[in-house]
Amino acid sequence: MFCLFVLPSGAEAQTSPEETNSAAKKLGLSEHPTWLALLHYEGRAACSAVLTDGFFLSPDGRSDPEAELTATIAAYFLSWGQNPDAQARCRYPARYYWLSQQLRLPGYTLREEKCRDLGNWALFDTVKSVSLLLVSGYLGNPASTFGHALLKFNTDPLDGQNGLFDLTLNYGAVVPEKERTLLYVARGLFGGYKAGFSDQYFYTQDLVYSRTEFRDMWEYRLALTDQERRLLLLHVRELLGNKFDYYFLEKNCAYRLGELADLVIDEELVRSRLFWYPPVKLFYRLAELDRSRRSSGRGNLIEEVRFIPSSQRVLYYQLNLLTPDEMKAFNAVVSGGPRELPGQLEKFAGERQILILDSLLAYQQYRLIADNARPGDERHKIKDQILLARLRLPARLRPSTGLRELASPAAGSPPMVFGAGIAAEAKDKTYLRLNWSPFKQEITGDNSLEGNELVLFDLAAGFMKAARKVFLERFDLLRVLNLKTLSVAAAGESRLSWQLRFGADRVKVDGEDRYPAVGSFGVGRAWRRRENIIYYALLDLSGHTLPPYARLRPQLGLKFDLGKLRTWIYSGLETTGYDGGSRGIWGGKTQYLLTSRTAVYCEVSGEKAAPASLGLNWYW
Amino acid sequence: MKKTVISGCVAVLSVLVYSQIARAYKSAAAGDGYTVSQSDVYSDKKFFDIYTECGLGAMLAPNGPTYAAITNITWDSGITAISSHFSSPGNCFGGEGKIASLINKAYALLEADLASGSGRYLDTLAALAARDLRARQRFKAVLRRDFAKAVAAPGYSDSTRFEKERLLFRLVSKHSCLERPEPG
Repeated sequence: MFCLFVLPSGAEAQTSPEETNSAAKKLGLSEHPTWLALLHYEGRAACSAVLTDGFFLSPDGRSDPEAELTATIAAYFLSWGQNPDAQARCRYPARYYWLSQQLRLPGYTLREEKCRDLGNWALFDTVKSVSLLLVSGYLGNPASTFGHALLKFNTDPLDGQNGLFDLTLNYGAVVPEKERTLLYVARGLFGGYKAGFSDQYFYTQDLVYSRTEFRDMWEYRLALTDQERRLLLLHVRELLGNKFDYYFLEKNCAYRLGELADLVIDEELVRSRLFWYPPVKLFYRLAELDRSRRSSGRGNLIEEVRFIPSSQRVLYYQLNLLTPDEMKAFNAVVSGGPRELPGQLEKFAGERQILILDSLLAYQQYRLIADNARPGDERHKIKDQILLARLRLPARLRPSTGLRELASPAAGSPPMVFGAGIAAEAKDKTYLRLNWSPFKQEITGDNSLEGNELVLFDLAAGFMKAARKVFLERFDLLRVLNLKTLSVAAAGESRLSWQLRFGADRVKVDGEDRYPAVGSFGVGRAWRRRENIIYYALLDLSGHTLPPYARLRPQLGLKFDLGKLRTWIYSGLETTGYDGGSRGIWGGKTQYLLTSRTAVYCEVSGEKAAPASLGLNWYW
Repeated sequence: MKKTVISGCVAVLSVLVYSQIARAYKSAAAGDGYTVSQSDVYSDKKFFDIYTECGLGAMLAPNGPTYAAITNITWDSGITAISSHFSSPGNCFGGEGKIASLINKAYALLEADLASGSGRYLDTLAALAARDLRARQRFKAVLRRDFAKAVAAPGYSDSTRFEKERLLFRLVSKHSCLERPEPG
């Protein structure tokens, strides 16, 4: 049973809107943080973030929380009318649920039978817990590069439905179809789109994120009381269909979902939105609050963090169960078509045939999605023939793949970094070096996923006191390193790693500082040995604004981790002209994690103006 | 404009589906071995009703990817009826609605799970269609058996996506504990 509110003896029974309103005023409810949160008044903002007029019962509700409270109380006492679902009690269940715990609302019941739509939707008996989900970044869409967040209402794990019908809340902007790219970027960054919440069954999110975009997810199941869970669920109901302003950097999915969770979390979950609030930041803060609660003996905020691998990751692990001979047979069928099946399968025992066919079927379906195959594509027929071959063999439980769980990106350092250190151009020429980036997941960082890099707007500046010089040392508008260490030798499946960079470096040309812009793209291969060693070979083609304007850079790189020490080194060649000449290039960085928010680093380079630097990074 | 286009698509789809049902009857009458029972007709009609009333048709772009792509910035199709129960007709939620939507959206995954005889999506389908663990195991086994026959039948590969989904819904209805009319 939810909170029993026991009024002191002799307390007034509020039976009219006026009496109820008067009681509310005495308690100062219009200024209560929960009431302001239910109306989405943000911080010290003078008005609500909700744009839809229908969200408010008072014409002044968007800017006057007291007027809205008065109107809400008045609406409670109105008759049910012909359509009870349209009555305020059914439309604003969270408001009345909360008010019922502060005031005496005559005849209030959480499960009002007249609110049939609410009763069908709210799944009162089946929602057992609430989770926030972090979806990994997706390079196929710039808006999705930095990840995504979802909110899920979990049903009983023992109901057999595997959570696929759990109600899942998504937040996103409403973008017209065929929007022009420049307009899309401008409106997403600077405003112009409206956004709202949509609720879907979880399997629709699984189909899109895991099985179409091949993104990993991490589910953070929250430790909420029954009342907190109920209030959150009812408030989500109130919000569906209402619109907000959308800003990609700040007022995005992570912000809005964090704001929702803030309704029921005592500590401030969403804060310090300095310039940007990427989704990982919400989860970093969640983990931080959880640690704080546990260390102070106040219980926990996170019950469990569960890794949900993408279908691509599962497929790769599944294919790695095949022996080399089985893989050969697999590839023969992929290349030659289903007519190869009888000849290839007869070499193997029944159970192994089943494994090969399951793998073939999974791979065909993966490729159909990855290649965005049309309905009439011949590959559907190929897949159907493999399907039939498999159906002719007995049913079998799929074997465990031994999939290695990936730690959440939020388990590492926060993404924004500020650093200070010393750099040396020569023995007697040292200078202060400051660096900043709003989003930095670098190869030596604690928040790097599988050795990959995603760095945005990485700026380093130097301050030379003696020469009274301030200068740009390095600028990376975008730097991406995608090391595909998890791959399979399946026919038609790319095993390439790649890197991309747009930026500028300070270099010395005839003793003078120059800042050539660079755009480079490279492809190659990467391998992993054990958990902590990655090595790669890449061939870069880069364009420079200083001659030679086009350069080739073949290079080898090595990354290895020893506990809190992360090290990366590279070496290679760079062409110096179009006559085949080249010079050696090398560099590296090592970083030691002091805390989850601080690290000390040392960087060396054979190609930069400053060959060495040493400093401290702060992450937040 | 958008609603007009969607309504137009639904209308065209309605004609196509009914023509398929009529063709099935005609085939049965012609004695080509394809027999349509009364409960098949019922389940086909039920599937069609759910398909159109609950917006499944609009989610299945005939020339688009298999699954609707939703990213951080979404296209507001306005179709949440099947999932939120917010404003959907009565048959959109509950067992049959959920089964139809799962088949519609996750057909490829159900195919793969049926092929191996196990998997998350098949288990979920079984949980919707059968009450207890033993019934669910039996359901999966007989569904797999009948699905194998359907895949082996001529024309499966040439069937449209809708036809495949309808067929699977028919098989599920046949073996589930969902309500269906007594043969008369």
